[in-house]
Amino acid sequence: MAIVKVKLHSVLCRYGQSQVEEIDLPANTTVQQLMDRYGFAPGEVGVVTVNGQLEGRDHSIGDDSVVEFYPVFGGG
Amino acid sequence: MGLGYIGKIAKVNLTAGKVEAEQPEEHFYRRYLGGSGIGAYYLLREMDAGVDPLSEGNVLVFAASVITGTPGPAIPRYSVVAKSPLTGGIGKSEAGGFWGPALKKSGYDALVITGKAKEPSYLYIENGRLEIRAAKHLWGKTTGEAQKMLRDELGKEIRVAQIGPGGENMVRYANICNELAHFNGRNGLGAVMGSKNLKAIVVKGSAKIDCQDEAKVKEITKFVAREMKNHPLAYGLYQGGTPAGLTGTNAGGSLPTENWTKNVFNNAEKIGAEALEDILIQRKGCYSCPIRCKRVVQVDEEAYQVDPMYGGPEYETLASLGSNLGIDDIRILAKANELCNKYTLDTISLGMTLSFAMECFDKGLLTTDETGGLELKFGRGDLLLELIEKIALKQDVGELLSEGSQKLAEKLGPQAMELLLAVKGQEMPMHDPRVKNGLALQYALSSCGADHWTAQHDPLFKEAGSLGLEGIKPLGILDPIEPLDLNGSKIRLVYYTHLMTVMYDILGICVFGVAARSILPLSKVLDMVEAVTGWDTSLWELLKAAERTSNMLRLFNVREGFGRKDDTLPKRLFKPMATGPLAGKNAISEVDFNEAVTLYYQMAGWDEEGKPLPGKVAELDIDWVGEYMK
Repeated sequence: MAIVKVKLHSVLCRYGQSQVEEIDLPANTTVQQLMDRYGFAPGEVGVVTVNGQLEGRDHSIGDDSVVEFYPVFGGG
Repeated sequence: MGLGYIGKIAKVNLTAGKVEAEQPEEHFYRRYLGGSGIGAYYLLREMDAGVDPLSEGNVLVFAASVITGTPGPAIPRYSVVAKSPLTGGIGKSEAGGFWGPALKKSGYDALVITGKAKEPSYLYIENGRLEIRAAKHLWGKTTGEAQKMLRDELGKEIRVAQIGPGGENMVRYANICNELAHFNGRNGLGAVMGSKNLKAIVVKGSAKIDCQDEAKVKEITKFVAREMKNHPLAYGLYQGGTPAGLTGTNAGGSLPTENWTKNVFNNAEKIGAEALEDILIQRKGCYSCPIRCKRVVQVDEEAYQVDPMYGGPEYETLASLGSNLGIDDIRILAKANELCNKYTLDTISLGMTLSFAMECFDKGLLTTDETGGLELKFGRGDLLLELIEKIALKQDVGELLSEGSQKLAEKLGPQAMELLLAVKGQEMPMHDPRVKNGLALQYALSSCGADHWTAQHDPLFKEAGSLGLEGIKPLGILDPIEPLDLNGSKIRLVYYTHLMTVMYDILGICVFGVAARSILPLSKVLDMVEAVTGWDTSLWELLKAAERTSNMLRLFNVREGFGRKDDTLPKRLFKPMATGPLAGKNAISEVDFNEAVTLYYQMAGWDEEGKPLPGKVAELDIDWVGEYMK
């Protein structure tokens, strides 16, 4: 198991209990699996960081990680 | 009068003090629709090549559309079109708010303004009556002061489009403001008003805009109101406004910082939507739009008083004056936004001109000898506030900075030119195309210089099933496209969404209300046009009208001597990111970029110089332009 802190930025917070939450994940959970767990609408997440680094969807999330999801920004 | 349109276009000659009205046929409206379609039509016909944009030879057009002023959702926009004093090419800029619909209700679809008034003047339009009135008492006033004086004089029902001192003094990136918080922001069109001694255009009226099927139009508005909270993109705009994109852009390693010498700003959370919440007092919207993406802020501290009547900063302002200048105090940025709105300065060009000057200062290319002793350094909020006033009033170093970054670079020499971040003389918006390569083509190919809304942005289309991609399937774009691709599929995406975005512009529709950026699908846009106008039309016809406009804008530039050499990018974008998670990566390949430009030209039906080919001109039914190309 891994204990992970998740930050859901801006409107993505509606997918969680709160903007920042701590959750237990099975070992070797990938970013995509965590996204599936939250059930984000396709394309709604623009940027994902793990411990402040940009990571792809197949990245394995380690214990004690901080995962942050930011909404897609299609021009402002 | 037709369905949707009034059927009258006012022609105002300020030199002669004369006003006439044209009554175009229905086919004129169907071909050009509104906005820059109507604007380009008149500029090509009524203006000579080579005219100084700040002389009385410039032609200034304000144009709504065939569906403006109806109860449809997200149709608040009107365009202002003239030769740009910033680029020397076509200038155009759209604004939301309330003025466009009010222009229609005052009895005109568009205004074509020529000449120059002998004295400061304003136009007063009420129910079809148009007068040129003295504005000596308004000249020199800020937008808030002038609006109050006009309302005291004429009543609260008026709507005012106007310039502040920045426009009066012809700062090359002065904008035009309506209702104090909505702007025709780009291309320096406020300076054109100033050059004509035109302080304001006041409209008032009660004309009913007839629709073929008004109930259907209202039903589409109800759909937006009902569904927007279930639509992530529309709800995101309501909840966080455009500032909601700032911290994610920073986390993604592409937030323009200190004249783009850095790509991450350490204190981004202090200037994003979360920080703005501390001073946010209201969410506001435009005419008949349920989304309400506009922010209203207030600061009531001794050092910084920010009046909520000037609205609040957008993402572009927070980034251009914040991270881009190294300033991380949201109160100072709110104050800077208020000052820009009082004086009518475009916050993007202002921020980018200042950041360019600061980098030049840092590198010794600009010294205190030229700045009147001011140390132009990043991170100084007090300096920003001081410089806004100096620029608007053209005092001291403000005069030098009022010309924009390209003219400053030309003065400072070739080393400074290397640091310049502008296309065709217009400063870059706050989106780095090194993380979304389609935007590189938008910036380079826009007839108006660097502009982030001539097409849609790549990240919306990278995932199967995404709202963005689903939204443009009616265009025939079916598969996801990677943001860093610059291949044929990407060029097609940029070209097709360019036509879609121009279609929105000439219909007066806001990009924040419709696909791909928001909720209203293309099918309902078409329904709305048909329900208003009664035309049996199609996306084909509307997109062809957009292509017609896009080509007329380009032909205007061809006439002014623009060519392939101008469809390029600043050199910094061909180098990798400097800092942050993408440091050392993401340089745009100059070879790939040049090939992409060539392919885009071919797709658009343009020759090697980017000039529309005779076949394209004929296809778009604008052969008449040939007569005016000399």
